[in-house]
This record gives sequence, C-alpha cells and structure tokens, in this order.
Amino acid sequence: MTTQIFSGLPASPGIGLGHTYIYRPRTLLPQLLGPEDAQAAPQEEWERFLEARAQVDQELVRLAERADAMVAEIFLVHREILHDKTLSQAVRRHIQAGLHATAATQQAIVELAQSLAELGDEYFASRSADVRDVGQRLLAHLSKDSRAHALAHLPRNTVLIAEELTAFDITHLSPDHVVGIGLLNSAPTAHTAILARSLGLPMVCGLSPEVLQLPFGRLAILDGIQGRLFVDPDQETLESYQDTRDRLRRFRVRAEEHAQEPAITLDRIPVPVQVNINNRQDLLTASGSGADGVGLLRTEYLLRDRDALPDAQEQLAAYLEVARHFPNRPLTVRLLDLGGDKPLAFLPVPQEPNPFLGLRGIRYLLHHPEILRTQLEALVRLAVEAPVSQVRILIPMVSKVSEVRRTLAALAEMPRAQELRRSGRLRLGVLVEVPSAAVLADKLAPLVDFLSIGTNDLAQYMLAADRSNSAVAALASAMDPSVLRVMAQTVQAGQVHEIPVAICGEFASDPSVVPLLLGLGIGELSVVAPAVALVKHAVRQTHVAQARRLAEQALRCARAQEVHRLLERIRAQQ
Amino acid sequence: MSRPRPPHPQPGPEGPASCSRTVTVQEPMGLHLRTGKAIVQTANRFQARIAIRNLDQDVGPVDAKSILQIMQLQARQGHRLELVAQGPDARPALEALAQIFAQPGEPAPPS
Repeated sequence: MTTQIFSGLPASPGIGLGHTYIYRPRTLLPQLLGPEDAQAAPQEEWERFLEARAQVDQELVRLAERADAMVAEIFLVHREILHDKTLSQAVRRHIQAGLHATAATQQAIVELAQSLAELGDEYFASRSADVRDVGQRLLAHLSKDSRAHALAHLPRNTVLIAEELTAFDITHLSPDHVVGIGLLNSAPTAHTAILARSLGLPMVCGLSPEVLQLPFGRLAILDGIQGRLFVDPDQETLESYQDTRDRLRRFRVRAEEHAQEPAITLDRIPVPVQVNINNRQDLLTASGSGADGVGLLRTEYLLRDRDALPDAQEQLAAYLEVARHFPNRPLTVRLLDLGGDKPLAFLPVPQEPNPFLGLRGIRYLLHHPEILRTQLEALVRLAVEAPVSQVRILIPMVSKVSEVRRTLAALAEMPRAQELRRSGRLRLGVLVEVPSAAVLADKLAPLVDFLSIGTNDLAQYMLAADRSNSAVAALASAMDPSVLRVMAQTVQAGQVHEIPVAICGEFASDPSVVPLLLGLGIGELSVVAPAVALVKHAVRQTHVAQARRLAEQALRCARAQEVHRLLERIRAQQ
Repeated sequence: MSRPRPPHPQPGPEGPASCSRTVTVQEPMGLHLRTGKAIVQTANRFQARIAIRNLDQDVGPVDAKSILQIMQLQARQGHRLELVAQGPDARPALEALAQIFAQPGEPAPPS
C-alpha cells in the first residue's frame, strides 16, 4: 500500500496517530425537513423554539465562562446572533405559515445564511458560517437526530477529516477519542483553530478536497507541527512519528513537573523564562505557570470598555494587581501601544490608510504627552510600592534614537525617577520591533537598561508582509535569515553595552527554536503562559556553546526553510 | 426567498422626533461582528427605531437592532454610514451610537 501525503497549514501543534473518519455532515437544506404530517399548532411550536433558544443561550454562556477571553468572544457574538430579531421574526413567520419549530428554524437559518453568503465582500459572506453554527445548536435542541450525536460518538483514535467544522462541532467532540483534525476550508486564524489549540487537539487546515474521498478506518498520521496528513504511512514513517509523539508527550509531562524550577542550560547558564500578559484574565494562568517574572505586560486592556483614560491612581492599582502575583521577580510593563489599528472611542485616533506605518506606539504617546506623563507617573509610583524585584518600562514602536531621548526626558521630570533608575528598581528599555531600531541598536543601547525583541512586528516590518493577510502572512516568518541577522545585530549591541537582551513574541513560545535563540545570545525569554514549562524544559536541554554553532549556521542560510531543516536535525539528535 | 425586511423610519407626523447623523467606519477590519454586537446592544437601550444605510455601497436601510442586518451593510473602513432614528429618545440614541464610531479629532460628546 503506498503512502498518500497531503500538505496543509499547521493550525494547532501536536501529532495525532489513528484512523481516518471522514465527516460529511448532512447539509442544512431547506427541502430536507418539509412540513410534517401532523398539523403544527403555531403557539406550541413557537414555545418549543423559545425553549430551545433559552437552552442554547445557557449553553453559550457556560462555554464563554469556561473559555479564555479570545474564545469567549466567539460565543458571546454567537449569543447575539441567537437573540437576533431578524432570526426570530423569520422563525415566527414560518411557524405561522404552518411549519413545525424544527423545520421553521432550519428554513430561517438557511435563508439568513444564504443571504449573507451571497454578499460580495468575503469577510461578511463568511459570517454565514456563524449563522449556521447558531442554527446547528438550535436544531440540536429541537431534534434528536443531530450532528452533535455523530461527533460525540466517534471511535477511539479518530483522525477526523472534514470540509469544515464549526465551533459547535469542536465543543461537541469527544476529546478522548479524537487525536487530530484535518480540514479543507478553515484557516489557522479561524475560530475552529483557536478552539483546537485551547483543547490541545492537533489540527491541519487547507487540505486538498481529495481527502474527503478517503476511505474510513485507514491508518493516518496528522502532523499539526508541519501541517501534513499521511494516510497508510509506511512502517518507517509510522515508527518515526510514534517516537515523535511519545517524545512530545514525555516532554510535556516532564516539563510540567519542573515548571516551578529555574531553567539552567547544560553548561550551567541560567535563562529567565518570563510570561506575556495581555489582560486580567491571563493573570491566573500566568501566575501559576512557573514564570520567572513578567516579560511583557500589554497595558491596552486598561482602556477596554472605558469612556476615559484611567488616571495614574487607577493605573497604579491595576499594575499592583499584576505585581502581587510575581513577588521578587521583574515586572515589565509596555507603554500604551495605541494607534489607528486599535481605535478607542474616547481617544483621538487618526484615520490612516496604513495604520501599521502610522502614528503608533511611542510616536502616538509623544504626540499626546499627557497620556505618556500619566502612565509614567503610575509606573514610577509602582517602582516605589510594588513587591516586585524591579519595574521595567518598555517603549513600543521605537524607530528613531530621538524618540528614546524624548521618553527619557519625560521620565526625568517625574520626582524620584532618576534615583529609582540609579538604584536599579526602575529600568527603561526599547522594544526592538522596527528594523531601524535593530540596525541602530548600538546607538540605542547606551541610552537604556535593556532591549527586548518583538519578533512578530519585527518580522512583519522586515519582510513588508502583513501577518493578518493570509495571502502574504507566511512571508512574515521570524525564522527568515533576514530577521535572524538583525536579531543578532541587536544582541551584539546589548553585549557591547552590557545590557540584557530579551525576546518577547510568539517566536520564543516554540520550544524547538530555543537552541537557536540561546545560540544567538538572547539572555531572557518571555512567552505565553501555556508555553512556560515547555520552554524551560527546552532551555535545560540546550548547551549554549553548541547552540552558538547552530546560530552561526542559521545566519549563513538564505531561506527560512533551511533554518527549519537545521532545527529539525537538532531535534533528531536529541 | 424572503429577505429580512428592515423598518425604515418614515418622516411622519412625529417629525421633530426623527433625526439623522452620518458616521465613518474607522476600524481597519470594517464593521465586523464584534462592533455589530456593540451597536445592537447600544441600540437596544433605546426605544427609538434606528435604521442604518451604507452611503458608499448604497445598501440599506437596515435595522440597527439586528446584528444580522448590520452585516448586510458590508461596511469597510472609510465607508460612510447614515443613522436615522425615530422616537422619543432618538437624539440620545444617535449620540450613543456615534460614540462607537467616534470621529478622529472631534470625539463624540459624552452621553
């Protein structure tokens, strides 16, 4: 039997080994459920609909409560669709025309989904999936014969293959039985992928339509790291993947056991592994993660759902809340990173054709010095009061040396700031995320106390590719040698001026790139909470002197693919 | 197939209780589901009937109290939307909604 290999996009990491199950849902077609034999009583049917709607509402509230902020938002939007008056009016109309509640709901959902799908604009057209998702939940309560049933009773070790799954489908999967998911139509940024990652289910998107013709029960490997599906793999591939899967499992188990211990490389170099925090909801997972401090506190969450900028007192209270979870460890706070891509109702935000190249980060703050002053005041007071080892202020979006000088001048105006900085309680650093800052790092380093590399934006600006545009997102890889070279340049500037160079950003959260980062000379890592244990474990397996040779090779590469292969070879040796 | 029928506030005898306002979509992602949710929730706080028209796409008017109808506007960044409200609290309703779209340099008055 020959192996069939399908390539797609990696959407949720991990390896799944099992048997194919091709899921072809009954499509929601209007003719599927006709008027039933018995005459429907409109009032009763309408009450059945209201009851189903109340049940779905509770279901969505429960799902939102259990999910993290990003996932919760999906369910809250679906809740809004559930209660939409256009939907309920359509259902009511069909019930009054003689349909049973189930058929009326199906009819209404199909119509509304269809009218959205016909829109010319792709974003709005694809919202029809959200309408169908809500419809599915309603129909699951109205009729016993539902999709939920099919997915809740899958055989063990299922590699689930489908055209597309909805958030509803994913939340009804039996996670003990499904080992991996392969999809045709989804994207790694879709709701489905976010949910799969939160459940730790490996997923690959963008597979070719042929996979839907595959037979059931075939041996399959789903590689959510490289984005591949192998069907009927040969013995050698299977064994190698079994090894990888078992290694990943052991890696995870061992990593979690030692999460609270410091990360020290094989050649006895301690590497602080810190955590990135986006909002208050992150606090609990972050504080229990074993992180050696906060490497990046994004402060924009302070402005969410507000109608005025919080004053220094209120900001201080919010920062102290974070500080209390990280006693005697550093707390790095990024100054407000505002701009045209994050509009706020109460702040004058410029309307720009290209906000990512516009008035953002420190540029915006220097235009609105009162906002900068308020935040600096809160942070200086934090350095006095907080139980942390030090407060680090991170300046976002620096592209010019003068921006750092002006921020320093604003800080110097704060009472006690100079004294706190001299004593090391308060530190100021540059977030290196614009190529010009990386190239001029040797001019920035003498002015500040640390540098931190923001890989997401650095890669995006370096390669002139928008990460949110799926047509070019793959170009914006931090693994690209061009990005690695300016990272190396930044590290060198830090070493010459004897200040630490850290890395924050998604790149550092992948344990497999840790040898490369340490080899480049990065001294501190800041990662998302779920990755802290894994990254610490990867640090413990790294020998920095050897990693340096790896980094030298990587810097000589011409393509990101070559760097990937280098790292794969390292992994194979471990 | 019957499409959702949006109510269109008629300038009728209630004349003075009807008012309108034009706003511009600022968000780079356009008027997406999350903002749609905010509009519906704000609109539902008022009794007034509120309709929205996308002046740049010539779509609408649609009902501001329905997220599904708002999606029909296909409003992208830079599109101008006309909000028309009718009812006893038409004016405060429009002011609250305009906050969601607040113009650069001239923030909407606090509600």
